[in-house]
Amino acid sequence: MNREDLLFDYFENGLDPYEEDILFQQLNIDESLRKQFYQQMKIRLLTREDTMHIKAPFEATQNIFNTIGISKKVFQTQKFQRNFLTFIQSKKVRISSALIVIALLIALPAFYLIENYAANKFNSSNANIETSANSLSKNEQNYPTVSSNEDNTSENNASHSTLNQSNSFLAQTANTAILLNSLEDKLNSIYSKKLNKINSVYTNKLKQLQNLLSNNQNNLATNLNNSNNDLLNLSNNTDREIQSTANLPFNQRSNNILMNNKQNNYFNYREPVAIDLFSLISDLLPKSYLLELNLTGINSNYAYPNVALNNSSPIQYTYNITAYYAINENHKLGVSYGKEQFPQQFNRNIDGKNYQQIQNPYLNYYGVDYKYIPTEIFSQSYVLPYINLLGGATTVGPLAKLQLGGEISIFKRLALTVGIENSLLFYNVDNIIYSTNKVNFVYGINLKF
Amino acid sequence: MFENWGKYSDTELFTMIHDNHSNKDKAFAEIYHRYSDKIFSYCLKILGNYDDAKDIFQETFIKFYNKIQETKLSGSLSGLLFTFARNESLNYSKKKNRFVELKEKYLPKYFDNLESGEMIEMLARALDLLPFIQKEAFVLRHYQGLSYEEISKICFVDQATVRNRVKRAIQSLQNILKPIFEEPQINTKKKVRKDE
Repeated sequence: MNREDLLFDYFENGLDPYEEDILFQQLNIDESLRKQFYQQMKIRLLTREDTMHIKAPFEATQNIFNTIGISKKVFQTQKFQRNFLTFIQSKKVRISSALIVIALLIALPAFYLIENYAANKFNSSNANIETSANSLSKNEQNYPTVSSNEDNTSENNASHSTLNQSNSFLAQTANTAILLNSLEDKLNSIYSKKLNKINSVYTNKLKQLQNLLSNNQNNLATNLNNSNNDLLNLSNNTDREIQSTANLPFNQRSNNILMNNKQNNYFNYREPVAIDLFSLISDLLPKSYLLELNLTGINSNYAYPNVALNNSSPIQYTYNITAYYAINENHKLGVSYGKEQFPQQFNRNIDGKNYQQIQNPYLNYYGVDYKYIPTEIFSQSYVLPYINLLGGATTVGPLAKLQLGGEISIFKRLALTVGIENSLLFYNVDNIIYSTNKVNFVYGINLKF
Repeated sequence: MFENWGKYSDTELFTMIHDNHSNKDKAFAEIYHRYSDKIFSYCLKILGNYDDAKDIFQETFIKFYNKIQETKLSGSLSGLLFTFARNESLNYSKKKNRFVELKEKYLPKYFDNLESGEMIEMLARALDLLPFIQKEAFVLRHYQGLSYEEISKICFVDQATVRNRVKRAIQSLQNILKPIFEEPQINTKKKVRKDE
C-alpha cells in the first residue's frame, strides 16, 4: 500500500496499528505528506460543518404536500409533536426542571426565615384596631381610634373613627415604632385603670353582699344574682376593651401582663396574628384550588428481575411529573409523564438459537392518574396520606403503579410528598409476555393553584 | 393525542404507504421529516444550484410517493430515496448539461484569511467542478455519511469502484483548493509582490 492509500484509508476506515505506525513515521519525515494530511482533514471537516446548516426549503415542503394531496395540517401537527417531544426530552429541559426543584427546596427555609423575622419585627394585628376613646385621657385622644365591629355602645361608636381612617393614619405615619410604643403605653394604662376599677367594685359588692347576708336572709339569692350580673357586665365590658386593645402591637412586657390576667380568668385573651409575607400572599391566593402539580424523583429499591439497579441515577433520569385536576378535596384525576429504569430479562430465538437477554433501559411513560386523599379523617393533620393509582404506557408495553404516601404541608399550597410505590410493567418479546415488578421510594413537591 | 411516530422503523413506515394504510399520510410526513434535509443537501451538492436543487428535491419526494406501489424496499429507505434523487438529478443534468469540465477560470486565486463560511463556499464551488460520478460518490460518502455498501447500491457499482471514486474526488478537491491550503507566509509574499 503506498502512502497516499495509507493516508486515504486512515481517514476513511482507519488503519491497523502496524499500518498506522508506518503512516506516522512517514508523516514525521515527509513535509508534503503532512500537507496532504492537513488538506484531507480540512476537506472532511468542512463537509461536516456544511451539512449541519442545510435544511429543506419550506416552500418546497408546501409544494410537495400540496401536489400529493396531503393536508398541511398532518405535516404541521406531526412537526409540532416531534419538536415538542424532542424539546421535553432534551437535556436542557431535564436539567432546568431539576434546578427548579432544587431552587424551591432551597427557597423554602429562606421563606421560613423571612416569616420569623417579619413576625418578630412587625408584630401587628390583622384584625380591626380598636381603642376605647372613653377610657383615654385628652392627650391620648390625639392617637387614632378605630371602631370595633363587636362594640355595640352608641357612645363608643360616636367617638370612634373608622378602620379605614386608622389605616390611612398608619399609612401616613412614617415612624411606625413611635405609634406602636404609644399604643403599648395606652394598653398598660387602660389595663391598670380597669383593674383598679374591678377591684373596687368587687370589694364594694362583697361588702354589700355581706350586709345583705346578715340583714336579710330571704333576699340573699336575688341580690346575689344581681351582684353577679353587675360584676359580669363590668368584667365583659372591660374584657372587650382590653381584648380589642390587645390586638394592637405589643412587646413581651405587655404580653406578660395580659397573660397573667388570663390566668385569673378576667377575660379571654386572643393571640395576636402577625402580618407577614406569607399571610399577604395567602390573602391574594384564591380560597379554593383546582389544579395540582406533583414533581417527584424516583429511587428504585427492589426489582424483579433482579438486574443490577442504578440507585445513584441522577434525578433528571428517574422522575415523574403529574398534573391533577381536583374534582373535590378527596378525589383527583391527572396525567403523568415520567422516566424510569425497568430491568428486563427475556429469551430470544435468533437463527434457531435461544439467548437470554438482560437489560436495564430507561423508559418514558405516559399515564392517567387517580389520587384519593381521606381529608375528612386527617383534616387537622400536617401530614395527609394519599393513594395514587396510575395506568399508563411505555414504548414496550403497559404500565401500572400503586403509590402510598403522605403530603407534608409546608405552606398553604405547597407540600412535600414522600411515599412508596409499586410499578408493574408488561412487555411482549416474541409473543411471550414478560413483566417487571419494582418497588420505588418516591419523594418530591406538590403545588396547588 | 401525542403519537410518537419516531417509534416506527423505516420499513414499517414504507409498508404503511405501500399497503395504502389509513395512516399513510402520517407515515409519509414522518419519512419526510426524517430524510428531507439529507435529500435536499444531496441535491444541492450534486447540482450546485439552490433553485435546481429545490426542483429536483420536490420531484424526488413526489415521485417516491406516487411510485411507491410499484417499488420494493430491498435495502434501506434512505438508499431508495437517494436513488430517486440521483435519477432525477441525472435526468435534469442531461437536459441542462450542467456538468462542466474543470476549467482554469473557476479555480480560486486569493484565499488568505478566509473565514470558515467562505471556505465552505469555496469547497462547494470546487465540488461543482468535479465529474458527476466523483462528486456523487464524495457527496454520499462525506456529506451524507453513507457506507460504501449503501453507495454501491445507489450508484449500481461495486464497493471498490465507490472507494476509487471517493479517493479521486478528494485528490481533485485537494488540487482545486490548493491555494486555500497554502501556508500563510506564501500568500503574504504574493501580496507584497502585488503591492510592489
